[in-house]
Amino acid sequence: MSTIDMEALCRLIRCHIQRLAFASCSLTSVVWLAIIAAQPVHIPVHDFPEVYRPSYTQVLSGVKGQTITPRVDGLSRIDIWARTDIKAGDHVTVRFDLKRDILSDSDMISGTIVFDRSSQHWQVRLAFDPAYISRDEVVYLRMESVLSSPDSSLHYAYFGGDLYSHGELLELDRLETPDQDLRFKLYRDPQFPKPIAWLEAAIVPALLAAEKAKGPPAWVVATLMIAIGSLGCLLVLSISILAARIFTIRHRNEATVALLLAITAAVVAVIAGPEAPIGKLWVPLS
Amino acid sequence: MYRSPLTDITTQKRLALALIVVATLNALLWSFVGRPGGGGPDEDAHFRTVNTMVRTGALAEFKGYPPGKFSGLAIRAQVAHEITPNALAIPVAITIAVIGSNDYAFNIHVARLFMVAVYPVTLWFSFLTLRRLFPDIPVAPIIGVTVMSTVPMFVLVHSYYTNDAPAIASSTIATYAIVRAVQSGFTVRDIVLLGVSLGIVGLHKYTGFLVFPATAFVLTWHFIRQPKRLVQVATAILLPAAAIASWWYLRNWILYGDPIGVAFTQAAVDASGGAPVPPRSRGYSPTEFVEDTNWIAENFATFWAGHGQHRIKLPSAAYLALSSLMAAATLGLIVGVVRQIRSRRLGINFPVLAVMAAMHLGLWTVSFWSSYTVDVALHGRYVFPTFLPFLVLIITGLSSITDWRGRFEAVVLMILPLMLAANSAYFIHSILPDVNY
Repeated sequence: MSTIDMEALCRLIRCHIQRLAFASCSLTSVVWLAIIAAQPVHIPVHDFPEVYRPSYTQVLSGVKGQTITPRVDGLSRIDIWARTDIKAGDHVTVRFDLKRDILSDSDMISGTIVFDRSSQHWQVRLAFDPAYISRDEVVYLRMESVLSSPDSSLHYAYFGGDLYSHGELLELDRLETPDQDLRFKLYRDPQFPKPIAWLEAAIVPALLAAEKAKGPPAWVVATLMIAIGSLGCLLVLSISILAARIFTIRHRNEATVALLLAITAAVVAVIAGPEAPIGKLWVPLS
Repeated sequence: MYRSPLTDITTQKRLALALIVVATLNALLWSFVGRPGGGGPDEDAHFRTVNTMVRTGALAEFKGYPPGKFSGLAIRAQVAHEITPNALAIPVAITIAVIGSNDYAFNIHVARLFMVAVYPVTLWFSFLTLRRLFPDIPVAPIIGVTVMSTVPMFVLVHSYYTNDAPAIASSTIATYAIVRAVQSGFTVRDIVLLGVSLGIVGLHKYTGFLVFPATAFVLTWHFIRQPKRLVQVATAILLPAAAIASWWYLRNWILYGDPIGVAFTQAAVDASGGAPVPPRSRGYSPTEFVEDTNWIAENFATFWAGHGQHRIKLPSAAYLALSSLMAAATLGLIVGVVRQIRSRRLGINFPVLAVMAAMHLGLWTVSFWSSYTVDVALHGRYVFPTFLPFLVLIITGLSSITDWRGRFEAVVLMILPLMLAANSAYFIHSILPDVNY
């Protein structure tokens, strides 16, 4: 084979490797975006500011609970945080009950989860029918755990101060120590279907904040956010085109698409990363 | 041969403008959600000065502090808000007098618009400066603008009413004027621009004042062998600067007998009774002070982010990445300077680089000293008037150890949207829960 043929062959191989790299980059990004897009959308309505660092309380009695009073209609999800230390072969079973009356089991919705490994960062997502709780109605989240052996342990994240004025952390269905709260985050159901629900999830917390700050009307804030988002998308597109021009001369279209998808996937990971299913446990209550 | 698509000035400019528009709209959004009077440190106190101006139709006058004003507090005032120059407060007060209402929240949102409005000015002059300093690195001005658009604390100071944003803008314009003047050899146009910009600096917060010794240094460097010309140019710069700014200091002198106002304010703080005694007066050594207040870590953390009363920080991974980046840049800076000195080829940018380093590190030193000897206050935002010099140092440092051309430039470009996303993530996951709580 002549030198020229060898060079042409090398170029061809390099060209195919480059196309393969772009294709796999696009595919990985699409898979990631599809995973995020498939997640149910919930609108955050209550969270504790990051500045408050939670402590962890070990479940010794077997039953802990928190009373919650949502300030909105359509509450559909409660997230709580837990730690487990589980010895090999052991497990911890936790039954979550959501009920209107602390002492009565009527009209209750429940779900169960089994922890069979140790982790410091469990985020448990309790999902339920948004029609179950109405605005300003007090509900009780009861968490009853059964340890297969006393060597294992379960801890819930909580705050030592009274950070949530609409409820209390209970022990064995009673108020043992006042002014403590479980660390939890509340979400409501979106009013629109996807993809508008994503927009709703992004915009609604800002609208609430602007209302609290006595800022401009909601439509101004919403328009501004949409303008920022649209310009941001245009920037991502422009940067993808520029980066593709730097990366390759031959396959600019493939490169642009691959980089656009990769950047979009990375941006989604940074912004919506906490909604990714990795490390989270879904517990449907019914 | 490799040719960056950003060497096309139009492409580079359009990209920078798009970033500036996004950053400005973002700051506007942040300003909408900030609690009136509590959008950031000291907002209420600064706005009270504007309110006085609106009510009296004249500049606010310092009448001393009420008894026990600083009693039990950790910090004391450095200079009273009525004595510190802040010329932008004048148009703010006039606007509120014309279109304002009795609603405190409405007025403060109007005042915040001025802070948002100076943000693109700062960004644009930073872009122009970086473009002049790094003509061989077309991505450098874009990185600079992106960093300035995405550092949460930098966005925050442009979204609530304070005297920081105009001090940053005026100092940035003056820095641009210094670079222009050095590169052009002090043409008449540049001398006038420098004089005017120094005048504007003189009418804003003292944290911007390091551009004065910086100007003196570059002037001396440039005209070291022409003393007569040095005096002529210095006078030509000083005249417009003095014409613009001197009235404020004369007013202070007449009213308080103290043009700068530090001594007068400190006497008033002491007279109010119960104010904390500065660490130095208490016999603390600088080391003890740094250890007790966690000065370095707290300043570093709040330089990047510190929203609200509790100064909400970034995730620890972000600080780790930023520390690594700064360590790499510092290493590169040292390598670059040693290389230049060994080769005895100090380029035209050498005095500029020295000035940038002196301005940024100098402001940290001033911030430390005032905190140690006077007010005990510490916050990373105090050095923001030298954010542009900080960026120059970082880019110069990284340039010594990396080649910005080719694929690395593409990777850098791809990081920019991630920086914007990280800023949005801070807004969504840190600021909004804090405001909505």
